[in-house]
Amino acid sequence: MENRLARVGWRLLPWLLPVTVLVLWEYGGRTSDSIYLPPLSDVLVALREDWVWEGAQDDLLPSLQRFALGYVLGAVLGIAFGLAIGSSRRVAEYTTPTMEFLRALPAVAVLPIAVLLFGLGNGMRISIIAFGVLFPVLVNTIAGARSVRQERVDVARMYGLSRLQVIRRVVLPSAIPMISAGLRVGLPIALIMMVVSELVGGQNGIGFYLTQAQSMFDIAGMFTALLILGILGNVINAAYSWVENRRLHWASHL
Amino acid sequence: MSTTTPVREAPATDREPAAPPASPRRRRSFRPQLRGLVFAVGLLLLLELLTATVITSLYVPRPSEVAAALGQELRAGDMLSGVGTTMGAYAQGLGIAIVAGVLSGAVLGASRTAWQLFRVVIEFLRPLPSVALIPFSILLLGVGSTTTVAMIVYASLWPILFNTYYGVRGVNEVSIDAARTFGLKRWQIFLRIQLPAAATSIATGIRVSSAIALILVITVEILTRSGGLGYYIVRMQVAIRTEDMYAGIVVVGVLGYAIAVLMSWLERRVVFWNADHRTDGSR
Amino acid sequence: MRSISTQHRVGALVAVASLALLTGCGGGDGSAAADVTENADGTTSITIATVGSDSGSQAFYAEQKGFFEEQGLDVTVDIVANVPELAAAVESGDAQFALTSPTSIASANAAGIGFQIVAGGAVYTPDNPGVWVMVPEGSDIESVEDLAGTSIAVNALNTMPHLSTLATLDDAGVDVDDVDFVTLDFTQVGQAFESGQVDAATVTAPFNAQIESAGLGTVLASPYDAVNDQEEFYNTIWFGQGDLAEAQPELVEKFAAALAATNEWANDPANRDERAGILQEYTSLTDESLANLQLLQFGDELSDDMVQPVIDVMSRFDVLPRPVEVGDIIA
Repeated sequence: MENRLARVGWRLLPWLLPVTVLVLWEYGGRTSDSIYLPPLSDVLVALREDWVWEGAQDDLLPSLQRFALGYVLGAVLGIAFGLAIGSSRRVAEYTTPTMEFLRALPAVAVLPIAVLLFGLGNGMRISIIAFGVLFPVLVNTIAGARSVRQERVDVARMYGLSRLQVIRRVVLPSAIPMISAGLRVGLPIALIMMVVSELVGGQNGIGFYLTQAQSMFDIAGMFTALLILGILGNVINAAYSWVENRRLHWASHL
Repeated sequence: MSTTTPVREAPATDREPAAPPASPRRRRSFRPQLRGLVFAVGLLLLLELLTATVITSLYVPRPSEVAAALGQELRAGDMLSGVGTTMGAYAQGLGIAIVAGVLSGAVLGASRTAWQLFRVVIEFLRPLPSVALIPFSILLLGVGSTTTVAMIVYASLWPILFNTYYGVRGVNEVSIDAARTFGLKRWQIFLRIQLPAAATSIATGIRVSSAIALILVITVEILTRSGGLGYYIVRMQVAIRTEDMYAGIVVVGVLGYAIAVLMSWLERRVVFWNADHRTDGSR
Repeated sequence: MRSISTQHRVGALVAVASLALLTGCGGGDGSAAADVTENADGTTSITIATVGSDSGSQAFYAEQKGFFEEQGLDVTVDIVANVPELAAAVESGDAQFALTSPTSIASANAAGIGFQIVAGGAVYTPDNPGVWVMVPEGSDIESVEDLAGTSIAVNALNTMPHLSTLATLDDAGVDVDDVDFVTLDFTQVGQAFESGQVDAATVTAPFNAQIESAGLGTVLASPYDAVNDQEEFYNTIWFGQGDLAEAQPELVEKFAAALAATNEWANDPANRDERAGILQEYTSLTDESLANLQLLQFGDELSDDMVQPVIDVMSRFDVLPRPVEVGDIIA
């Protein structure tokens, strides 16, 4: 009996702190007269008013679309370049310094170039997200491709596989765990880039909503944007784990 | 919600491939640099050609113009003082993140109760984009270096925290048991075995964070105009001095490159020292 | 050259880092009066926040020409990005006074934040409006009526450039719901014109001059004309926390007096060159941009008539969640 109680307690322990924080938030918001700490209940009301469901359609959906497209684009480019660089020492030697240089550029600084190349619409925002995702995926793919045992490549070569075939059949499968890790690192970065690209000019999106709320001193609104982003980050993370377990596990046995 | 995995970014990007050719050492270390230079210069020439012929926008200066602007700005000193401010905030933010990340990661890794207690909150906070926190940080900490540093800490904390956590967790059970039989106390095991064994993983986390921190410091400076190289870039953009703006951006890239080189060198040292502590070959 | 308040609140930082912030999320209750320092020599130390452009340049002239010192004020001038940051600087007590648009003071009051206007800033006059609606070179838009159904770039929604453009369109009988407003930083308008991405844009100085001299666009209209029937109103103002204005009226008086002296100096055409020189120091504008720049005029009289038009245009387009009385927002 006591053992079971302890087990239940252990299960509930992770929720102790969040619940405490939420209760303190509500209490603090009610007692403090600071306009900058609206009670949780006010934020939840704002959440219902602003995000269910018109707001979700107007701001959340466009954000998610850009996120998905930018992420996939960045990931695909990262894996492709990564395999090329990782499986050829020469390509690596040529490109590494340039890559490290580009990698350090913050998206906000790349923005003018993106506007020039892709205009003001979604293309620019998607390219900014892709730019952010590209590098972690690229770096990890390179490392993954290099971790292939040389013997396996040599054997494949002996069997007459072309360079491209070697990459597809030998290098890619063994690089998958590292690529997968890179794809995961890219997730929160894509989320950051999504917000950044919407902060600087735009017509919709969570970042745009945040700046609007900020300029109207709608503090509860600002908190709802944070809540949405936090939930979104966790959902995306969980979704990725799910995909990783099914798909990539299978893929690594290719 | 047990979806966390460590940040497993590749070690040094210029790591040797599996079977390095047996060539004289001096040539081997020189050739990659030359090739990297050739590629970069070739790319610049291509850009110069394109901007001189096809892309004739007022807002895209030619690389040669940017280079001239860079030379002039470096001599003028205005930009360099911006770099100083930026790197000051960078070092402060990354330093605090390292201390806080290693400490909290180690505690969470060593105590299952602590992990169980903080898990949900950490999982919620971790994917929260730091740029979205800027407005709150400004309200709480004001405009200026404090907010910049706080944002750097927030963003660069997670890779360090999680890599420390997994590093401490991943220590070979056998060595812990062995230590226990030798009569070491729990905190002794933690200090003497778990923490040193996690060094490699921690080093990777720090390297990942060192890149994130630079991006963050520039982004926050650009968004809040709170001094430093980021403010220099915006000021030039607002003053419609496009060449000078790109010169600033080039400096950001160079800083990033320098930090990457330095960090992978440091990491290799740590990996070298700790080779015998590692529990598996993957990290 | 510019100073940043370098209070290293290490304690606060560690709090952020160690997540303790979450559990004790109390902050943000800064009191502005606390950071006003009365010095031994009888001077008062304060911090003010402004933007690095001509519209925020009063502080620079006052700092360099000693108008603050004349009033016994030891002033630190911070340059801050935008309206939200300026408001936050004042709210958090980092700055006692800051420059902003009257629209944001009205918004703040509608949201229950007691900011009050303490001194005047840049004034709109018909021959020096400071804001223009521009169209790309070669555009077939020739009048405001032609803007129906187009996309227009503004720097932010519900600010004066946006609202005044709405008023201009509305006055011309254009259906405003039919116009697509795109938010775009002023710095990117020229680029958007160059590549034909927007049909029109509302821009401020010095971007209008730069766009014109580069042959990228031409001026179509002066949107601020529609705000107050071509009569003067405040484009920017100085504000502080209402509590501070109430508690230390003499400080507000000194500050306003220093700015009045500044305005007299800055508005005098004889000082144009010196003024441009100081402006250049803070903004890094090129000589060419400065030569083309029509410097703004500043006002010091704080009357309801100079602010009411702004509130009216906000009400006209339903920006304010609840009505705001002009008397409540002027100290």
